[in-house]
Amino acid sequence: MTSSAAPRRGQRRPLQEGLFQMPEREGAPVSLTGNRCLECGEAFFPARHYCANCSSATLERQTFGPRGVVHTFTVVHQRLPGAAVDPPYAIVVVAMDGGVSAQSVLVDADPQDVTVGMSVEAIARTVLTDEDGVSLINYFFRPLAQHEESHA
Amino acid sequence: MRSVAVVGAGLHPFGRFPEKSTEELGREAIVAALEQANISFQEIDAAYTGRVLQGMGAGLRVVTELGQTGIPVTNIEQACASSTTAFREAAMAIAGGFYDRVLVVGFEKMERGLLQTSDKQAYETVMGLAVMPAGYALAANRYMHEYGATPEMFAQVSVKAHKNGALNPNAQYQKAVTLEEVLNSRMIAAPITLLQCSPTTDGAAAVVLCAEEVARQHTSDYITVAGWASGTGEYVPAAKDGESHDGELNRLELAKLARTAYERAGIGPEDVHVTQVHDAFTPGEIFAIEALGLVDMGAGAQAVCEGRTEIDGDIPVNTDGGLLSRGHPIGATGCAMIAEILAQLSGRAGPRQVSGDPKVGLIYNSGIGGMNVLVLKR
Repeated sequence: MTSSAAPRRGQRRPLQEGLFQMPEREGAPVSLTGNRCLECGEAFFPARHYCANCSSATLERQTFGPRGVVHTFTVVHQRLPGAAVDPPYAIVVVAMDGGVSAQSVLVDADPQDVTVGMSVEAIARTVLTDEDGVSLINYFFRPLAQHEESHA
Repeated sequence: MRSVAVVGAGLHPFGRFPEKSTEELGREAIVAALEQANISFQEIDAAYTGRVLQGMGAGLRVVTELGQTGIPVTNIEQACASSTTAFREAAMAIAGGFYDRVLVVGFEKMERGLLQTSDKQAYETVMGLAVMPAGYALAANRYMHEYGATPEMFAQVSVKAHKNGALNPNAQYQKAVTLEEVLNSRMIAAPITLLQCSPTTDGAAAVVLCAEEVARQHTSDYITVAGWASGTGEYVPAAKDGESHDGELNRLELAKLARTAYERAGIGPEDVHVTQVHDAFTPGEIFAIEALGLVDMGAGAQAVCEGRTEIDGDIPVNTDGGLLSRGHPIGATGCAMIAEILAQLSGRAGPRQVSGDPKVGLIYNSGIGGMNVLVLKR
């Protein structure tokens, strides 16, 4: 027996640690967790131990988003072995509020409707449920409706 | 530093050879290169090998096919740029006076299917992000947004590549394709269709280098390494990255490397007669000719559509069919690029020969983990 409790059906955990703060409910907006170099000011997502720009080890935690703008995209039609998403799906590169870029899959939209400049929001969603019944959560992007954008 | 000469090159044809071992592929390329160089294996001082997938110490297995002369054999893995990196190390060792005659060989046997990036990292695979053409497709969509290019313009790169491949007996695909066939082939990651992706390939390519002062003992038909530059993607501050989504393509870094290579060779991009670039996917050729300074930024797609990169154009690119049509056995691709430039500058390229007695060749080979730019001169 290990000291940690066995995973239980219905539990939720991130697909990968450290990318975002786990929200209470499925589909809720999430800020992405990165850091910023205190020496040169460059921002990073995911967080780095040493600054990519100046190699300083003095970085402080910062969150980005949840909103951002699509910088570019592609629509993937090829099924990838081991992928939990079904083609066709859009991959978007998003310039996040706060100054980092993040890449994920666009949901709640027809992939053919994605455009450069589209306003989006990061949300947390279940990617898949593992063999123990634990939901693995990651951040995705969804389009912001016009009336939501005006609150930005 | 001593001047370095490329005295011979040889290929095992690119394609699918399930019945042949890596050692056989490599051996045939080495024999062809040594024959053209008029040098015996017993005279070789050192060997550098490029490969990615063939297991530990694969270079030794291939090189010792020709004999166990006790020479050092260095195995280099730098993804798709493995064998230009092996070539660079060989050239530097000769320039430094450590060796006189060096063999470089790249070889690969590959499985069918999409090559996955990021070493199959669970996260990117599960999320469907680890699809190799996606990086090029993301950059292509941004390029279309910025410059008003169309999917047809990218597809035209594949039409040109296959037209050239049809003239190359060593090419994996020796059949011309139409623009409609390229556009109507299966969509992989928009705007990139199947015929805009380089295939997986089995093949080998070898090159023999000498100190120039030694080269003349063997042949009068050689070219020299006039300049080179290598690097990896330098961090692009967020303020500058907004100009274009560079992603893994490192176009800003490539432009910098090209300037260094030209400066070392004492030339400018306008002096280049024939070019080999890394067209793993069709946008690659367009981005490369811009970053190399052969055309202005944003003018690459138009240049391809105007036929400027054809064999009879003013900036011929990938005269052997490129990665798209000649094939892309990742560890062998760089040496195949060098072999084509040697053939072109020696007037031995047959129906693919660029006219006007070309004297300056340019190579850009790129892999996850590094980029190499080479200027070769006759």
